[in-house]
Amino acid sequence: MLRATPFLALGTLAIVAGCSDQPALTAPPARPNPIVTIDPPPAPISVSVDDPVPLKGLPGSTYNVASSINDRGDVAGVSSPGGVEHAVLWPAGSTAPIDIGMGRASDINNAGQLAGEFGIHAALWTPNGAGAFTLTLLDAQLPSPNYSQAQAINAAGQVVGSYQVQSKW
Amino acid sequence: MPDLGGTFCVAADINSRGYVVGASTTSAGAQHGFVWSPPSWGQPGNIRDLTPNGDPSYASSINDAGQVAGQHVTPTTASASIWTPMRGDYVVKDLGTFTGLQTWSMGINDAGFVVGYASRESPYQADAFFWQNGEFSLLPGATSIVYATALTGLNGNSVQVVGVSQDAATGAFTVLRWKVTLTQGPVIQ
Repeated sequence: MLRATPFLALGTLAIVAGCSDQPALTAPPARPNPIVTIDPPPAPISVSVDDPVPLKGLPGSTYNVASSINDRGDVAGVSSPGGVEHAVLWPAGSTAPIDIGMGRASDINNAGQLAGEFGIHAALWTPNGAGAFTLTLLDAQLPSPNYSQAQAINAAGQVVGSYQVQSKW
Repeated sequence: MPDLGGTFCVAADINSRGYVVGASTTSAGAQHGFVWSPPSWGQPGNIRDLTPNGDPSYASSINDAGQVAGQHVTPTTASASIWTPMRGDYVVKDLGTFTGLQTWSMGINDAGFVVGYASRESPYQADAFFWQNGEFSLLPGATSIVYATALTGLNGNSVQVVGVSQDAATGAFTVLRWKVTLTQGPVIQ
C-alpha cells in the first residue's frame, strides 16, 4: 500500500464610542435613546481584464504550465522540450522562459526560490546571484527514500510537499 | 505531519506564518481539506478538518490572513470556496457557480481575491475566473479550455494572474498571463 504523508522542511538549510455633554437630570430617562449607526454602502468595484499575454515555452515544447507567480510577477512552471519536463522561470514582465533544468517547478517565493521536483526527489532551486540556481534535494531529510515532491515555499524558505511511504505491499 | 486518518495526504500550500493546507483522506476514505497550524507558545501543531460534517473538500491555497481557498462539495453543488478563520473556527463561503458550471479554486491572495476555473464535461470545457467581493470575472483565452492557477498580491490597483490554455485539437498547453485592474466606483449616498 502506498501512503503519502506531507512533510515540512526548512528549505534553506535544515528540515525542517462616544460621549456627549448631558444636562443634569434629576431622574434617569425611562428609556435611553437607542444608538443607531448605519454603515454607508460599500463603493462598487469594477474589474477590467486585459487580453492575456502568452508566455513562450522552451523551443520544441508543447506542454507549458504556469504553477505560481510571486508578488514581483516572476512566474514558475514547467516546459517540456522534446517531451522532457524542465523547471522554468519567466521573469517579471518577460515572455521568454529561463531554463532551470530538468524537473518541475511548483512554486516561487518573493526571494526567487523555486520549489518542485527533480526526478523522484523533492527539490529546491535557490538563485546564486549570478543568474544560475543551486539545486538542493530535500528528500535526504525524509524518513523514506521513495518518491517525493515539493509543492509550495513561503517567504521564510519553508517548503511543504508530499512523499510516499511504502508501509506494506 | 499528522493526517486525517486515511492513507493519502498531500500538502498544497504554506503561508508566511507556517500554516499548511492540503487534502487528506479520512479513515472512511473521503477526501477532506485540512489546515495544519504549527507549534506555537508551547502548544503542539494541530490539524483541522475543513469539512467535519463529512462533505468532501480540498484546500489548494492559504493567504497570510489565514484564509483558505479550495473546493467544497455538497450533495447538490461543487463550488470553489473560501474558509475564513473566525474565533477559533472556520466559516466557509461557497463562491457558487460561474458560466453555469461547477467551480474550482486554485489560488487566494492577501486581499482575499481568488482565481480558479469553472468546468463541465462532454465536451470538456473550462473557463478561467477571477473572483472578488462576490463577483466572478472571466479571464479570456483563445481556446475552450482555460485554467487560472495563481495570482499576485494587490499591487496598486491591479493584480497579475497566470494560467494555461489547452488546445483541444492538439492537446498543447500554453501559459497565459492576465492583468486585472480594480477600480473603485463613486460612493452611492
